[in-house]
Amino acid sequence: MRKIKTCGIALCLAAAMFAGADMKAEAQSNFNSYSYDEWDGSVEAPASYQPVMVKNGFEIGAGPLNTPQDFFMDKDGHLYVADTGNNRILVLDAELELLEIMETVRMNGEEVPLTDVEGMYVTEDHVLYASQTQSGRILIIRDGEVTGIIEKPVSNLISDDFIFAPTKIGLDIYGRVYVLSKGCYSGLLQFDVDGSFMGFFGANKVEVTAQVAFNYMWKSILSDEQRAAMTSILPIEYSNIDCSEDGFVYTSTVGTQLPKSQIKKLNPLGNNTYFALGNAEFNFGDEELSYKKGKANYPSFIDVKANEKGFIFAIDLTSGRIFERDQEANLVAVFGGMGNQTGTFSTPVAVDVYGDRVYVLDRLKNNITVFEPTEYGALVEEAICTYGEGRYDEASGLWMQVLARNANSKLAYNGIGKAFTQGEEYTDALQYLRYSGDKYSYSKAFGKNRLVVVRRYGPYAIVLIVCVAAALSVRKRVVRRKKK
Amino acid sequence: MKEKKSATNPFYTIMHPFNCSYDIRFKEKGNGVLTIIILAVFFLTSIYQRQSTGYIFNDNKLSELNVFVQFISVILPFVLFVTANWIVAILMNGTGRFRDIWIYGAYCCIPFILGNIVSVWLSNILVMEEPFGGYVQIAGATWSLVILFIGLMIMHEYGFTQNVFSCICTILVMFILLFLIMLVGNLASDLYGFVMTVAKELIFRMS
Repeated sequence: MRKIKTCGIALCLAAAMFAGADMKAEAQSNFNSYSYDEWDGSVEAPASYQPVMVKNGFEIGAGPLNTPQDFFMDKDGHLYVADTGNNRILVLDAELELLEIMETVRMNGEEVPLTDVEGMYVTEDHVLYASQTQSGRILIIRDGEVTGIIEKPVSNLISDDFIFAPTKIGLDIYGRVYVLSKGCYSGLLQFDVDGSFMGFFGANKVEVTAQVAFNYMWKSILSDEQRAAMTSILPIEYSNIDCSEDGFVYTSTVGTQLPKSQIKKLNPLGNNTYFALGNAEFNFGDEELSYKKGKANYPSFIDVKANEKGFIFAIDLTSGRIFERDQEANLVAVFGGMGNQTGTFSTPVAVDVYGDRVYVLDRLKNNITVFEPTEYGALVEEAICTYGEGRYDEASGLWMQVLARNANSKLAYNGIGKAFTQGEEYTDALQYLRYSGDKYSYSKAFGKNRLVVVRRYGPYAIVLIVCVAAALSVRKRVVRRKKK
Repeated sequence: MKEKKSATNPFYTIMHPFNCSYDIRFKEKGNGVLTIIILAVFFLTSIYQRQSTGYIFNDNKLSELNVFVQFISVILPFVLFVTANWIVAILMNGTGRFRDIWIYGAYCCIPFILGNIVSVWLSNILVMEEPFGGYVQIAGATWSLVILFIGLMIMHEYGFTQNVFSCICTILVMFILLFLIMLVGNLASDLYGFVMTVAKELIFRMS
């Protein structure tokens, strides 16, 4: 009897152990999740996104993919994949099931192959814009029929030796087309609804590095001929564009020499609106960099996408990580990485979103990875959205739940601190804002708290000072009278 | 003239640099023990400033205080300055001695120390849009530099331009001294490494 009991306990324990082990395995990812503290040191954070599906060409049912360059998710959840190496476009659904393979399109009654498509855009009424980089044109395709072509524009702004090599395309809410052309440093090419060229849009500026400053100094000394022989300094071209529903154009940049403003949010005038306090520029990638032979591996953003809630997902080619940020460019989550396991990449080229899901295309692995938010990740996003809508108390409750899961969350401390400031509970507000490291908000709350303190104790202090002054003057007179 | 009150009282010094510099040099009025106390206060103030400046104005990571680094960052510049100025004085026929420069230099730190302390207090009651603490600090530093300049001029019996030249030379000599210190440090560590290697080798062969 006793033996059976021990056996039972042992079994129970073993079962518990296995259950525990199982749970742990499920909660672990193949990449590190982290955020940054006040001093830009990385601190651990729970995983915000987990890979739920990885599919290559075979698993999709379309044969192997060959160096796919881009994909695009339309509003209905149809994923258009530019299988560039195989000269075709695949249409998948949100579960990555094959719907259609497009190999040719009809143009003027002829069947034309879809060669070297490097960028795509699909409008709400299923008009497909596909850029053929080598051929230097953009096909506008409706139901397998080419209804329009955008080619090298004729304009005073464009010289004859300009090579029009369109790669990425974006359409804003008014139907204007933004085109990224390979080797074009003047910014995006902007076309009107009817396909006429409007001008260049939002060029990158030259980064002032030590070498640039040195070259500039030399150029001011040298003669014209010598100057012509020097390498010219050009701004870095964009790597990708995304037109969001609120009329802004997001751009990403690869190969920056300074870790600053790699992601830009351009307003309709073409100016960047992503700036911190005092016009400081944000670093959108890792704060702690790895070094190779004394050179820092700076983040290099290959694609950016904003989802419906206003979160932007930018993928870094250097570290293979996806950085999720909110509209104020606060770091929300980091996921993904370099490697050969599920949820890691070799050469990611494109990122896209559908609902809560994040899709990543890998050019070298020829597969698509789908991420879904974890409970924690969804909670953080909900809290940010609730706060953004102005429901501070509700947001504060959500942030408390976030804190219970991640005591390192700067965002959570900040959200609670700001909610306390709104509720005029400054003592608590100051404590939480201090944890969040947000000096600006702390200073605001501190100023309001100071006013409260002065109003409360100010009258007493004044009365005290007046009393002391009166007492002193009386004493003086008494002393004087005594002397007399 | 209040002889009694002069150079032995550093708070009198900072208001009357001409008199006190003269007294320290030619009437042997300086107090050496007092300079040690002033420098100790200077060192303590630097820690106080690092740790207790209000959160809004404080960019230091409070948990990473290194007392040794603080000590060096206060004492080393002072010792370097005094030594460099003394060297320059010898070369430029200045009449000041090492002891005089040391004492007067320490007295001159007082406005700077007071400015720092007041700026720490202010930083705890001001917000980001009111950077007055910094102004107080700058005022204190300016005061210190002005009386230091005047004092050195009197002490070495220099004219104005000669004193400006001497100060520039002093800064240069400070850098040279720093370079020499680093050089000697490096060579010493190399020598230590060499001796240790030889010793280890010998022990290895013997056994």
